[in-house]
Amino acid sequence: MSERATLSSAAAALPRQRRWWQRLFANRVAMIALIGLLVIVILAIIAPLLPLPPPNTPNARLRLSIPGENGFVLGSDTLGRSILSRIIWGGQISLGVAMLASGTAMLLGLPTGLVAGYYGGRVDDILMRLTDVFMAFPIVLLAITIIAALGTGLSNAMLAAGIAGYPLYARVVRGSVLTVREMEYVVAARAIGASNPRIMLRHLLPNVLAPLIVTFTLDVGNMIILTSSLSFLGLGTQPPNSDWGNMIAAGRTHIRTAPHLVLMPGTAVFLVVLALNIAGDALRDALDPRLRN
Amino acid sequence: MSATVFLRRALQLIPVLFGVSIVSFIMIHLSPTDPVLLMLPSDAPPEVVESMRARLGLDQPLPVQYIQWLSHVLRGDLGESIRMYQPVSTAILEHFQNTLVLAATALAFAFLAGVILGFVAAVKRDSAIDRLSMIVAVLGWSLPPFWLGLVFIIVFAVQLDWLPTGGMYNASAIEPDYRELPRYLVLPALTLGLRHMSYIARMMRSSMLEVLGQDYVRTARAKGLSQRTVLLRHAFRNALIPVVTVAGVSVGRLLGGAVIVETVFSWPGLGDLVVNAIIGSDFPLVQGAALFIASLFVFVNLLVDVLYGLIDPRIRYT
Amino acid sequence: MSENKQLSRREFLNIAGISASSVVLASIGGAALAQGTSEGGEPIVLGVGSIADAGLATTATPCQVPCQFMYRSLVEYNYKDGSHEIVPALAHSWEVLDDGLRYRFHLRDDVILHDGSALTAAVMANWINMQTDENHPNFSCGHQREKHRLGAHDRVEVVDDLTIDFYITRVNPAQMDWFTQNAYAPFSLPALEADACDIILQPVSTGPYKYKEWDRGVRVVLEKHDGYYDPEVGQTPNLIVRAIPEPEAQIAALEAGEVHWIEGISAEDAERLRSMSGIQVRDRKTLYVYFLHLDNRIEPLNDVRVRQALNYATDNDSIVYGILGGAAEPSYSPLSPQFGPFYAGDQAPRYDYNPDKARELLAEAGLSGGFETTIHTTTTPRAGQERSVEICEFIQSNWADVGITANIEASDWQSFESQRVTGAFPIASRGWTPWTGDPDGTILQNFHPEWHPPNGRGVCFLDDDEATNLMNHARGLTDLDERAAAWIEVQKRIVALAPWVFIHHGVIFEAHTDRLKGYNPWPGGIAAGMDYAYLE
Repeated sequence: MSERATLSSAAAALPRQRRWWQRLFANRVAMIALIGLLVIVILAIIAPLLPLPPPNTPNARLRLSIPGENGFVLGSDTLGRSILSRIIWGGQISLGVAMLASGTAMLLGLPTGLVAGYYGGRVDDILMRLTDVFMAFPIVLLAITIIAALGTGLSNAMLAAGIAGYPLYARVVRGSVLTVREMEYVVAARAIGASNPRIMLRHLLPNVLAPLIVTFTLDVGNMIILTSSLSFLGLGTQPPNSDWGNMIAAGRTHIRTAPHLVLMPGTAVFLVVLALNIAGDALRDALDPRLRN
Repeated sequence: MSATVFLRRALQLIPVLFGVSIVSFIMIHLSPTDPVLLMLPSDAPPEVVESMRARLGLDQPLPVQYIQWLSHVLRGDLGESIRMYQPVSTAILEHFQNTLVLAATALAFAFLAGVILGFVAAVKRDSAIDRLSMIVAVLGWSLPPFWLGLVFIIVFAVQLDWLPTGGMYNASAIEPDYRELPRYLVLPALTLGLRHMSYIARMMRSSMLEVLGQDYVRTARAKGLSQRTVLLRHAFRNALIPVVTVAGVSVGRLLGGAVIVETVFSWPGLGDLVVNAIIGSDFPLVQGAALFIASLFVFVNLLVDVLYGLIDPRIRYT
Repeated sequence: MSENKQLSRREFLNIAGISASSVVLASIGGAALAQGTSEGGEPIVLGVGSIADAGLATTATPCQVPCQFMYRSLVEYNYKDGSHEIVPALAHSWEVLDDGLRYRFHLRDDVILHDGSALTAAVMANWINMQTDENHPNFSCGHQREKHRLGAHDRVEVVDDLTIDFYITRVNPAQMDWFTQNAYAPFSLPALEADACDIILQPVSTGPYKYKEWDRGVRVVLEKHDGYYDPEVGQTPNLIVRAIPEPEAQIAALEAGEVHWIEGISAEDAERLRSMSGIQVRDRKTLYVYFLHLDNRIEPLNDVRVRQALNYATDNDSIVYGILGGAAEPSYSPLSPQFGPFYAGDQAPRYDYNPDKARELLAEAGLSGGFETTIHTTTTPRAGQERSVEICEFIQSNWADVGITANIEASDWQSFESQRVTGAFPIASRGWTPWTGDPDGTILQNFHPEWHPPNGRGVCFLDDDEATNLMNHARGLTDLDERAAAWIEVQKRIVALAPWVFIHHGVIFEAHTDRLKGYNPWPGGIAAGMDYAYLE
């Protein structure tokens, strides 16, 4: 639940009673969420090693098995492929694409925010007006418009989500930079003639890291929803590969007779996003105790 | 907010709107699909294709096309939709009404439920109610809307058969009966509003907690004002200010969320229109709708600023 | 012109197509549906899968479901009985003159169009010229304008008020079939003059129903045209065509009584619906064919061995008995077995599933390492396309077994079809019920060079002299036996060239409430003949 407003003031160092990870570990719910997340990520990564039926090989005569039937733990889809297997393999795509999309957004947003915040004035004006332009489009709409330009497909969906998501990072970073820009050590560094890039990288960047990590964690959750929405609309992952979004889309036509086709992958999206949000909130609380209420 | 401040904010919109128009225009013209071929029958001879291209001005260089397009847009002409066989502006306005109904209902639900939930949670801080409402909030925030919509359909439309699966009216009746609208509105509005409700609830809670810790609230308490008066007259009103801003941001997101939710519920709104336009390569329509939605969002933000000025006493009284 | 032989072919189709379509009556007891009173005012509601089918104009496909009720052509198939017999419509009689190069039609004198104007030969001539004459003021607005839907049309001549001559370019035994097409259903001349192109979207034509309302993407509402000449047609005051894209939602709507007829249900759903009271399931063994077209110009599909390999690599049996639940038969020819004497059957080569053979052929073509390609298909469950994505995914895995990497790109019907017909896709799926009951319509449109885009939809770009010569020969023949033999030769050559991956000939299922009476499914189209239907 990362929001521009609440995050912008994060990270200025307060006296800390405990190290941040101690505070994080003390949060039991967050730990459960983190462990759950870790398990899902590991399962997705080691999918090839797991004793799973191949995710993309149809077995037309075993189609639409209900969970437990014909040896399918979570049932089989319209072509008789194991839903469990497709969810785990699809997790590679869903999680990977979301992280890459957030990464792209961060890669675009970090320098924008850094430069805008540090230089201020005209530069700030231009960069932030540009960011305003992209923020004027609802993120889903911007993403699908970009896909209309680039063509459908996984990498385009990822790129589109990344572009559509960059204003968030630009604003978070800019906000953090503004709070430290005039601090003594930055002014001092400037006085002794440190170059602008050096100041930005050595003195400003570290101060931006904490809110950036929190933003990223929470943003991956949003990106999972965004990219799976794109796949749901048929604009992302193309068959036979599965991600959670296009599995839900494929199940949609069988919503009456085989609702598990929609329920299973959707539950996966929901649980992962939930875990990410809980972990992200806890991380924010741990990194920036001022925001704890 | 004084008139000059308002004017300055309004003037700042101009470069943003200009940028929005460029983005809307460029995106579509980057597309590999040739819109002219889509507008003509498959057996159209090449010379007809070329004359159509010339008639639409698509043989001009991009900057020229942009200026032509913009000059038409400024006169309220967004072009002709390829697939709807009607002017883009007509298609947008017809569908926008429907989106407005949906988004307004969703926002009203999100705002009311979110504010109440957040308020109660803050007042009963650390109680079971607090924890429960925050669990609701984090669950609501984590549910993917397109999936939630399908789950609602499975449960309330298919299994229980209480509500229709989609649409805006009973399409089997000769004349649409809009008195039934609420029945058609419940599921999509809940689906669309839930994430925003969660967001507003959390915002309201932390805002309330912050306000309750402020000096003037302590003073008011010390003066012996009743808990009720303190909470409602002083704390509630001040806590609401940031929440209203957020609700303004929500308007843009609701329009975005509507893209997905309308698709799931076959709600004939702007989102459904845009998705079909993109899938069907209806470029004038995509372009016009993107421009419309983005401009709308920019103006809503301005409106929120004004509203903010009206309810924030610190701004009002200076 | 041997009218007898033609009739015998149609009689055959009649028997093969319709009598085979078993009308399955579910138990009749307790047929009360959740629907209000069935006064005369209740509209018949049809549920169709594609928004295009519930719309009035699309660039790619002529408006089908609603328009057939708004249009009447010179002649028509016998929709009442659901057969391919050609019966009088706007013309009460006709003569074939000039050794088959001129058709003279005598128009009925009581045809009133939707705006109250009367049908004359001049109205008809204007309509035809609007589609063919580039100097006609309304030429450019013909969303309907598809020259090849006029058959071998050359020019039209008004003889007198109610007599009109059509000259054709060559002897065409199938020309009468073309005269049944919407292209021969005129629009009102005054309306065209007043509104020019706009009335394409609100047709003012000759059919038993007229335009009332179009809620784009949702439905089309039609109302009975009181001036229609045949009182037996148009028994219901209103017809509503609703777009319900999800097949399961269509079934639910039928069960709930919200719609009275649905198209495009799967074999499994048909089985389930058969056991429900108050619902009739009907199946049509039709001229339907489902295939992947291969663009014969493009590497490596320009190598016949590769095209054959794709056919051998495809496990049609599993598609038919697995995915389609047996509601189809494997396909070996562009023509369905329902074409009877024209169907080549065992005489043409067969590509039974044989991955080893496929690998062999690929190796011969120098592609033992396989290759990468894209199959385009549609996600819209339009009648005949319901399982397209699933079938393509299945084929994708079949082909992967022989080393071919096929990507799938699936899009909605309108965008898919509008690109497919231009020849934009190297490989695309298509399920299709030929509209005319003549092999001429099926084979020429797909394989004759005259029909290559942009002049037609021959998106295989098959350009084989031997096949073309055989087609040219066959289409000029009028004797049934000779024609049958010639078309079989054509099929043998075409199948050997493997311009398609032949997949299946499906059975089309439709279902409707018991209360719907007077409707006979017609093998060639969707809901044709619904204008004879009424609710009990």
